[in-house]
Amino acid sequence: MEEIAQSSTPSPTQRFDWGASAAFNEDLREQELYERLWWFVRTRWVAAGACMAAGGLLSASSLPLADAVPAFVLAALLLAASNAVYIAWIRRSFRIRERRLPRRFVLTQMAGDFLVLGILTYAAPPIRPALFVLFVTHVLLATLFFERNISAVMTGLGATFAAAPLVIEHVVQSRPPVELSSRLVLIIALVGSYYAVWFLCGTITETIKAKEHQLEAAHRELVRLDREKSRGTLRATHELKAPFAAIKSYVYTLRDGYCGPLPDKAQEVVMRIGDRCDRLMEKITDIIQLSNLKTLEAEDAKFETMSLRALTGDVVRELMPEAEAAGVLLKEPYPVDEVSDTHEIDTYDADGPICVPGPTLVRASAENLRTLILNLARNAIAYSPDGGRVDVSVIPRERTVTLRVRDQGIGIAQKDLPRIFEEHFRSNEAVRKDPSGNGMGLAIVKEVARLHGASIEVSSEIGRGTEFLVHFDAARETKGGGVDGANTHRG
Amino acid sequence: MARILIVDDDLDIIDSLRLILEGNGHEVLVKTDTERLNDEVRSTSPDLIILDVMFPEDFQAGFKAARRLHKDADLAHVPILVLSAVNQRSNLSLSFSESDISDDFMPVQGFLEKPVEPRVLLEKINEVLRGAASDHPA
Repeated sequence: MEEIAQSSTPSPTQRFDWGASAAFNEDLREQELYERLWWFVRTRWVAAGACMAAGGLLSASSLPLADAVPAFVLAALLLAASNAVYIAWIRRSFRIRERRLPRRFVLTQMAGDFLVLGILTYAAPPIRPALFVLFVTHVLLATLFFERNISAVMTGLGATFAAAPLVIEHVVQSRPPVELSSRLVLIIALVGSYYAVWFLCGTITETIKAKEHQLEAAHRELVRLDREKSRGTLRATHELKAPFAAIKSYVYTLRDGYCGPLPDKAQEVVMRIGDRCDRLMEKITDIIQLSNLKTLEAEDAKFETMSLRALTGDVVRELMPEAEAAGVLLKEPYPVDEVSDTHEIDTYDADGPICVPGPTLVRASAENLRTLILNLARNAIAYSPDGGRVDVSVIPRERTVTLRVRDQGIGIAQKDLPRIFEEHFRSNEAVRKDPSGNGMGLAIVKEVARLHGASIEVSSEIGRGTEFLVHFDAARETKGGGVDGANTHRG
Repeated sequence: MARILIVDDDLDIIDSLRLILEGNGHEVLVKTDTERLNDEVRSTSPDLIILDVMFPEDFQAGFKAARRLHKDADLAHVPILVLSAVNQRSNLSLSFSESDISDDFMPVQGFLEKPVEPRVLLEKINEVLRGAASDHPA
């Protein structure tokens, strides 16, 4: 473990300790081992088949390797038999979920493979170079998956099985002593090169492990900070809203006569206090909402598949009294069919309502999408003249679903169009028409659109009106009754 | 008329609620924190609890208190109306709404947002009390 700690210093410029433990990341490796178990076994079947085929070919040919036929057959049988045992072992280990088993299991397999490779090395001298390389692949795997001390032992075991046939061959075949020196050189070269591979691969692996730990620690820290931020925002929201809630509660008690009857003028003043209180509270809510949205990523928001048409219908109905009070004609744009989302809907063109059938399913964060529709529709009402009409419709297309909010209001000058989604921006016309607005509504709309990967088109003419088109990716219904979105990666 | 326990740390909210509730003939009891709330409920036997969620000591103290009451077999029948300043529109994963009400997560009978219209509050109280009366006939 000391070696790991030393090699975990990633670079001289790294100034912070993220609190990562330098301990070997066993879980990650073990997970990888589990995933590789069948891969090892399948490869071994191929190797057993190859050995058997080689034995067959050699016995049928007049090649000088015919002596090695029994070794190839033995290797094939050993590989097949051990593989059968491994399969039984894997099935058992998965059944009983013995956590330590895969590591021991893989080490046993490697030792078994070394034995088979050793037999072949002894029996088939012409293919020794290829066999020596196969030893190296096992050294690499051991170094990738295990601690350095274990991989060092496995490297030694591999080198022993690679070198032993050379020694045994020398003794058994009573070779002349002069050959011994060249054999020793080969053995030293083998052992040296195996340990060189072990050292290089091990060093790289340790560095990667250290980075893994840093990433893990950084991730944990981000999760913690995110949670802190949510709590902080919640507290801030509460602290800002609580005083207004108290003031408004008193306003209600005064207004409703719980503190005795008020003179008319006092009643009016109380109502005005209440109104200003509401506006300030809305402004604060908008600022908090925008700040939350700016840091909210799609992965963190709760996305579900929903009918844009149904949600738009809800919002429009909610806004009816507001529109009526402003003298604006806001019609429920279409009948919302609770059962089927493919009901025909009404949208409006120059001649009046037209029918557009088709589903309007989108993957969305309901509360945020609701805010987007509400803000666009509210803006349309706020900037419409008395007697003006606001059309809110949902248009399904093959790949997209479009929310359209169209008004006959004051319009936006061409020079202002690029700036309308900026925070606090308000055109001169907008300030004249509705002095109390705070210029946050469209900034919030933009952030919600960003969160949903939606695009927005705006067309407007001063004095004639404005049209907002928000294009969402369409989500599709799957055969199983579930839903499948073009943007299912979200949420 | 009912005996209603208000659990809230905001004295102004308590006062304004008291004006409304007493003005409608209810008896009002007050507690400004959630500590030993079970004992308080046991000794005063309110018909209904109006419970805030965020307290200075813990921003989920109200939830936790509701769960403690729910776990107490003697007190689980007392209906709880949550009254909180932070609603679902604040865009936070910690926010909550009527749809979150469940025996495990939020064992309460209703959820209202501060500030609450007196008419809405009184209607909700009546609704919850009617529900409690039909669940637990005296």
